[in-house]
Amino acid sequence: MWRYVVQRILEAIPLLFLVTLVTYFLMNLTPGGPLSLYMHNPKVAPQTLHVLALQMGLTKPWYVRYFLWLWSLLHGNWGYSYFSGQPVLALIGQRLPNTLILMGSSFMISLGIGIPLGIYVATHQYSLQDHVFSFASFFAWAMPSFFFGLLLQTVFAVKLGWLPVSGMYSVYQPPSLGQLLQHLILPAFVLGLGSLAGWSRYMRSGILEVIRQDYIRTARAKGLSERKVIWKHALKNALLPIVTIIGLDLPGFFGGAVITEQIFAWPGMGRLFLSSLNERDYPVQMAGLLIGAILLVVGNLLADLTYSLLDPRIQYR
Amino acid sequence: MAKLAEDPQALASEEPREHRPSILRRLFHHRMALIGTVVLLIMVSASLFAPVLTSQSPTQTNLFQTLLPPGPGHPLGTDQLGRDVFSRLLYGGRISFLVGVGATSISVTMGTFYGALSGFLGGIPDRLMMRFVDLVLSFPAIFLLLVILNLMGGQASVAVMVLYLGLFGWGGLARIVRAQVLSIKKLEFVEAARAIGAGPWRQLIVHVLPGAMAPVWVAAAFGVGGNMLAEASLDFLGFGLSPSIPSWGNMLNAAQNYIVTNPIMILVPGLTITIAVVAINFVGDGLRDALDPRSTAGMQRIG
Repeated sequence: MWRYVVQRILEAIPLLFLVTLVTYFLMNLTPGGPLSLYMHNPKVAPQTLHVLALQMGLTKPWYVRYFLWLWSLLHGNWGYSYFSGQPVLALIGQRLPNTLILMGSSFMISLGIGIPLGIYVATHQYSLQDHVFSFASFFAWAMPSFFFGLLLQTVFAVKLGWLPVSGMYSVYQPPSLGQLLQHLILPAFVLGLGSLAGWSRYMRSGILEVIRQDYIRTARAKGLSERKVIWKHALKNALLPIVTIIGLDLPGFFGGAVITEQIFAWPGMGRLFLSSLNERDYPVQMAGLLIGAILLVVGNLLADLTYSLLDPRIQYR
Repeated sequence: MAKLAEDPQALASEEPREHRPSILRRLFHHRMALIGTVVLLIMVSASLFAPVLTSQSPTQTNLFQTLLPPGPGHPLGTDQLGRDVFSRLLYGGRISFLVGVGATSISVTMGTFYGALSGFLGGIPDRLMMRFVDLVLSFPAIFLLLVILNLMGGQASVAVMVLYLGLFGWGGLARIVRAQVLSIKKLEFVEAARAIGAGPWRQLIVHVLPGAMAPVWVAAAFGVGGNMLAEASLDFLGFGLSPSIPSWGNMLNAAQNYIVTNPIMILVPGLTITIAVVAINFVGDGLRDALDPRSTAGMQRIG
């Protein structure tokens, strides 16, 4: 299996190379460029601009800069932010953990509520709960996450004052785990809602499909309790298609975090990426993109590996 | 044992052709799909007939009449620049549906032909073409979209938005269509077509492709909703259509600053887009049940 993992990672490298190359090219087409900030400032002389451009290496053609960027990346240097001058790796070090906390919590919410919910409604097919669930899941899926986020924020934070409006810690109190959890509830739920709805729907149809099969009838016929039939026999097979979907959705959490972090002023990679777009901060943009692409690769790989764990018929060599 | 006689396949083959329920009939038998279709028809015609339904302009500002509550002349009030919300909602529907349908048409057309060609050619061309799909699918969509839209500085035109969104969602569909074509091209009727001298294009277009279309229609239905949401999200982030264009996403973007003082401004476009996408997904769900019950093709979204 490890050989398979290594092989997949090796296969991903040319992909990541092309992804970054194309993006670097596109990024450099942006009008204005990194110095646009100073361009209309009368206090900044054209000579100063030129010196800045030289310092940042902006006078070189884009492909030269790309390979310089790639070369230093391969040596563990993600470059320096054009905007703040900080090393990009330090920025990632500050922001990525926050995004991972947010993504992880949303993931747990989607999985922890979505899967049992799907199983529950599948075992109560055509009941009132099932119909309500069906209807609600369509709405949960279709509602734009920023709209839902703003609604929750207004109701629970602004109007009722139960939860903090935004940010990660309170300004007034020393940071603590309780604080973090309070600040986490709304954004994590908003980020997870779409997948929660999707996964529970897939889980429901997965269980319904499996439950009709002969081996389930056998399990019932030999007198197993319904609980055992569902949780021990049906679940494992019903999970198979969902695992793929979950793996494919993983990078979606990172993309969704861009919007959620923006609404709730969560100091993560998503907001960093958005501001780097406005600031024409190419090294930071590249970092956001590269992490997104890596997550995509990892998500697909994890999906395939979990698949083989659940289905002994599939073996990767 | 009487059950055996009722073997569905045996029955279906005896049944005269006219009595087999058409796809449309099956679709409308699906209650949710029927409701979805009706809701969509109402919404689309309301936005098409916007000039009949309201005399207000969606873009005319009036700084003496900002943030008005619903009342005579302004059924849903006015926004922060004094523009009529009802009128913006109607005209905004044109933009949303246009972007949704336009972008989806591009990606569905591309995905179908690309996947069909790849599967039909087989061999090395197929492997190369699928490698390219892998590449396309390994782009983190929202990040790349934001980078590209940043070239427009948040002032994208509708055509640009349609094109960009359309150039994204085709990879997944290409894979699905390829898999379909791979299995269909081995069937006897294609061989028969080849035997009577049908050229490769004729085999592909006339004989193989029609059988591969079921997941395409399903993906198309869900794609429309997904693209509408993507467009609204990009507008909301300020990287989408030019703020002068009355779109639902731009309405939501503007409304976020007035969510406490003037909640109707955000509720109206927010609920409208939700209902529109729900209706589209109802139709998609119905289509799937009618055409392709086994498929897992379905709701995809960006952001």
